[in-house]
Amino acid sequence: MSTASIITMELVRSSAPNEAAIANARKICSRGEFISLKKTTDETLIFGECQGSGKNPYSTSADFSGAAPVFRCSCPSRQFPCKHALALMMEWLSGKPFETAELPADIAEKRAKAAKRAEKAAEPAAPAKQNKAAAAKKLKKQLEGLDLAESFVKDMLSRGVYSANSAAADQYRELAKQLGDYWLPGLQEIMNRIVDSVQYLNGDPSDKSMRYITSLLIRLAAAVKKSRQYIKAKLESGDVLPEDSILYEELGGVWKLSQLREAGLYKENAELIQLAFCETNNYNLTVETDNGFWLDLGSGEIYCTRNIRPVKAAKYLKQEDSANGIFHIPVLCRYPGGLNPRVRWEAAEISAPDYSRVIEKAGSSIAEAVKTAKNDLKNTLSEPYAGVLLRFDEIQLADRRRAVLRLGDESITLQAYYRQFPNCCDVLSFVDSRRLRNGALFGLMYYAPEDHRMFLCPMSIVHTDGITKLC
Amino acid sequence: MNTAPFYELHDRLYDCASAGCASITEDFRLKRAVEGMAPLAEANKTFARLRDMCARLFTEPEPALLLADCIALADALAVAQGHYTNAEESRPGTLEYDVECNMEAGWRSVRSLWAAILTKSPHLKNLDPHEYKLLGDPRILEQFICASGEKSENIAAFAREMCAAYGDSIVPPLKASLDLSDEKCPGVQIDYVADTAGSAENDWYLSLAENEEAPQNVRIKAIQALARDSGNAPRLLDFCRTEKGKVKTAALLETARLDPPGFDEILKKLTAKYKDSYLPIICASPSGVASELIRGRLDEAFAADKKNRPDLKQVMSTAAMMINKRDTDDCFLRAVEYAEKFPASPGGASELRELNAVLINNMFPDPDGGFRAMTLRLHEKQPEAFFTAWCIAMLADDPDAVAAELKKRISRRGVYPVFDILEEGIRYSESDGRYIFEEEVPVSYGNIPVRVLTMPLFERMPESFIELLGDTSMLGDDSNKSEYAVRERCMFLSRAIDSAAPADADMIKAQAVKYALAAMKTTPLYDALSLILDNSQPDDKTRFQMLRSYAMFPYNAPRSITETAKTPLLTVEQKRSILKEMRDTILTGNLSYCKQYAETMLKELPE
Repeated sequence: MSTASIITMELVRSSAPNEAAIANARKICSRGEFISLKKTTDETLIFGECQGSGKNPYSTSADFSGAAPVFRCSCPSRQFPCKHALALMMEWLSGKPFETAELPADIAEKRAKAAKRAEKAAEPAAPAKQNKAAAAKKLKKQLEGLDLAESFVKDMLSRGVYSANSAAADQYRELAKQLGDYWLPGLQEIMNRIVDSVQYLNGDPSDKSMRYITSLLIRLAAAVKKSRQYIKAKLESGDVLPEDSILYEELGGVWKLSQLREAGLYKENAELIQLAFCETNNYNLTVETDNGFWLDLGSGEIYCTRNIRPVKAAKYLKQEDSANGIFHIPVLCRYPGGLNPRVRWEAAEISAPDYSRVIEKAGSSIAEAVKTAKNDLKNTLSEPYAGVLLRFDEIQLADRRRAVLRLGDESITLQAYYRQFPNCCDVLSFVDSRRLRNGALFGLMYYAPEDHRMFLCPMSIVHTDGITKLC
Repeated sequence: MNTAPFYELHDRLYDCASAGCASITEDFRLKRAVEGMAPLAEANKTFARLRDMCARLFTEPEPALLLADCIALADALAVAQGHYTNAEESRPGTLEYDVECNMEAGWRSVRSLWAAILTKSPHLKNLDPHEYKLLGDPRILEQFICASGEKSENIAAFAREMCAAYGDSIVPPLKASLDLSDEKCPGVQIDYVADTAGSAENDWYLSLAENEEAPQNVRIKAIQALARDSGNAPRLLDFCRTEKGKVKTAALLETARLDPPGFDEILKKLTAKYKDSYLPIICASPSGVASELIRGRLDEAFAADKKNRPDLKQVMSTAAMMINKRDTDDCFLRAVEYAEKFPASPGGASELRELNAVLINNMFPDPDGGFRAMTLRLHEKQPEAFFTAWCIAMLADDPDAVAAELKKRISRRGVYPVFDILEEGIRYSESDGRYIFEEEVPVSYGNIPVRVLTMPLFERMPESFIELLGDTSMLGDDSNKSEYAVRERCMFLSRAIDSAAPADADMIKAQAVKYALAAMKTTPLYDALSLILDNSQPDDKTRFQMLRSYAMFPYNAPRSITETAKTPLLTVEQKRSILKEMRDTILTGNLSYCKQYAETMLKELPE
């Protein structure tokens, strides 16, 4: 149990679903829309009435009696916490007088219910029943859909990507729509990307665009081929439930934490520290993703986290932010995947960061790091980049767009990975030169076909006293 | 191993996918590329596998999926072959700075400031306290340097913060960011460098100013930077003599400010062939040559017959020339005489405003007090004409005298811009521990740069000024005429409360409430009502009466309907009675369209 004394601007900021909510909360405070501000004697609850646009004032509260703060408001906003709850905390921070009052009956009731829920959650849950017949039926349907996707690949490659025009693109889009009926959203997404790219290049087909579309087609073809083998094997063996394979997600399956645990894809008592964080958009700006890259301080593996938000609903979904400190995670669930598997967890305790442990885990051979990355990148279905953590003696600047990481006798060129991530390489020129010596660099290694070369896109620089983020 | 045949085959496979594999048998380039793989195939199993797969493309009846497999394998092989040896020439970084930086700041905070720089947001003028700790973040520095070449007020404001935080260490990246290949480059980075490093970068400014290949704006900015150091006057004189066009004009203007020996001769040439474009140069120069030109122009104006009499713009441009000129009392007095004799506006108000603006600007800065003494001399001779400038001259030394004179003229306040200047310009500064005067008083003609004029004032607000704040003599009976004035005054009083010293706040609040209560009797506007409610605790009865007066003032409808229905300060019964009264009395005629709205609000009131 904590009290309202834990409120800081950082707490307000980290609780807010987005920056706009904070700005709106500030407006509420500056306009003095709170009619009453109250607190309980033990200061575990602050509450008040806020005159909003509705007929009656909204009852807003911030409850600190549990493990995590609970925000409640009678306003109709779908954002959580809403601007009124954030404004209430800001009023507390500004030092405005809060009148002492009794704990409201409705809050007392809600607290009691929450306590019951917590008790229930603590009890060991019965394993969820899996409907094997339904899963098998779904797999069979997917198998039919794969034929459809394959016919698309065949058609495109036979006619040639160059000959695809907007009329053909419309037909292909219809085909892509049909894939939705076959439980193949993953393949459908690739197909939509191809169709969008075809429409985009109409009239001006550059070599780069043609290559991009072809590489998407190759990815689709590989996904179809491998998925067919995977599904057939599952149907033959009778083990139709999800297992440790990236194909489940590639086909569009969504892992639940419970499924990951059941498949043995979890680790107990993990310690993670974040190496880099940034938000990216998908190719047609319909999806925003909060990407986090984490180092497992035990095994030295690098994981990633992804919080995927459709832009249409982004306003109502909490945006993640970068994180500091060591995350002590009782159960860390790990998705199937290669070098940087995706991870998720339900609860974590955070302690002060110790960057010397990060440097200890950094690789000390560029050749070794390149070899490991290549093994991952060769897989058509894996991400086109691999996160690596490397020690360095010095980072030298080559020009505005490139730099060179030197480690002993070895070196590798640093260059931005333009296709997806912000241009972090430019930032290197503006890092204090003392931080460009004797540290560790986290970056994404990728292959540039036009140069026949491997590059490293720098994301952050780690020293024992802290981390310099570049993106 | 020569891997060129492999990359040739890789490219051909992609070309085949682009062109379509329906007629692959006729693709002789691909065929030749496959044949070229023989030496590699002999040396390596995977290359051999790729070669064999590609060879099958020519015999397969439906080669599309095989082509996809070939490309997938070729891609994987390309990755495996990818080298990482670098051929780039590199050098160690040299940038060093010690700027406080919150390394644990959240990505979203950094991104928000980053985006503000990218979009040149007005937010850059008013950073949040936590954002000052982000200035040392390399991501912010990089984005700022990228944007530093943009001509934008907001970027300039942010640049001031960045330069203050980084000091001299920001100079190298700023210098490097100047893009001399861009003809339209505004060269604003030179201003930032000059603000930060001053004359230490004289050689750089000089090299830019002398560089005839450099963009014109860059050369002009470099000349302006050189002019910050009077030691550069001889070089500037050279520019005046040798340059042409806008670069020459800039050199003339900057040299005029410094007034070095030898410039009088150039100035004489300019005054002999006076053109309107020389006006800023004459304004900038403190030289006696310029004063003589003013006298000559005034003589001409007086001597002109009605047909050739100069218009207001010409007279005002002459008045603007008096800036930076000492001992020109006679010119000011003659200008007043002209304004009185041939007024262009009632009472020659705009002419007088311009003359006062010139006098006020001259007093900032005034190290030997010469300009202040001239203002006092002029006021002695023409107290009404030079009242505005006199108030500013006396404000720090004798505020009571200023307040007393202002009180006498309060009913004619529109004639004296000093009321607006003081209302806007006086505020309490926490850092100085006293009130300060901080205001821009622009001179309309002569393209004179607008400066923020500042001077320290008193620690506590003089009582005479506090009394003046509550003065109600401007409130007339005719509410229609005073609505604008009341609203303006209420806004000013509200600002005055916000910008008051903590020790004065209560007294100022009391005066504000006094004024607002008086205003509510004649012109019950929302601004007056909120001043009272925010700064006093009226009893229930008084509060009800005020809210009723506000609601019953037709000018406030329809906003007053919503305010009355929603306010938490009235009971439901009181709301109902006021809304009914409004509906039956004031919501008629022009306001009858609001009647339905009042009805709706009445229905929505809880039982």
